[in-house]
Amino acid sequence: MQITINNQLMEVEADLSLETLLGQLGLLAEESSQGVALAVNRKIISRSQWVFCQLNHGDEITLIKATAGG
Amino acid sequence: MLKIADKTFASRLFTGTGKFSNSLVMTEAILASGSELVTMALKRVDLNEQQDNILGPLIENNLNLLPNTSGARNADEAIYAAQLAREALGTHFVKIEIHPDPKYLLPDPIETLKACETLSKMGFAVLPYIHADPVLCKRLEEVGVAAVMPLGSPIGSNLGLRTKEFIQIIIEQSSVPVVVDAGIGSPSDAALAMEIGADAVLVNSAIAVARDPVEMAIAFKEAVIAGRRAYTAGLGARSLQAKASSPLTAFLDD
Repeated sequence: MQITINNQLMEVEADLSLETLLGQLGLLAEESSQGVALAVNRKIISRSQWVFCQLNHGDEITLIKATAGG
Repeated sequence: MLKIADKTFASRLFTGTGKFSNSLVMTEAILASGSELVTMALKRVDLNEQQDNILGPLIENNLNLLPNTSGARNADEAIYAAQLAREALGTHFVKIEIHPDPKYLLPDPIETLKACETLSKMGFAVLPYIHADPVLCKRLEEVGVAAVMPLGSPIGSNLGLRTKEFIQIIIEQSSVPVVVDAGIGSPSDAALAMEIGADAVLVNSAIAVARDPVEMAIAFKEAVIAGRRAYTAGLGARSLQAKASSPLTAFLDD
């Protein structure tokens, strides 16, 4: 199935959980997941719910991270 | 001690994390400044890019984080960004920044008021970046903001307190803390803001782009302490006419 992450189209396996996807992208390691938040179809999914969130074809994931700013 | 929402601060200097040459200098400068509250921005993760990690050293040093909504063009986007920020950083503090025009980065007061009302109801401690508009400040207070952050001059301009008289009106009328944000270019600007009674100042560019950011951070720290001390000591009245500070008895005359 296809999903988008920050508007970038990706082909992923069906029946994928959010947690699995993030693991595949290397975003579950402590350092890389620090300051990260995400939303699926603009609904924010809290970290504790990542493992329960099943992705569907066409889902749009927004992935943000805290960065330097004033 | 300064209290904003449920947090107290010994230092009245807040700092930004932008524009530093690297995270080591940033961390050293922030620690030298004594700041206990630092701002951060949000960005979309680019999966093809190596991720920077500036958050690690900030957390290790127990600094309070103030995420901003920079990039939001209206209230809805700012509300969405605030919720993402709360999730990302685990804080209910948020600096509302809605500036649709990239040239001057001036805040949109109408969208800011809307966002502040909604976010305050949702339990956020909201600190809006605004023009130095005393009427807007009262309206923001009514919707429950935790503090107001009027600008001295445009973001990153280092032009200093061009809005001084209006900030004085805001300070006189405000029942929430007043944090002068944006445009503070030198320690004397920060001292002036504190002398007129600001509760705190937020400084980013002036420290980050200094030739020696760590030394500049110390200069700002000292200026904020001096300005606050002068304010609490009570400045003398001004007058166009001279008022002698030495006795004028004519002891040299015959």
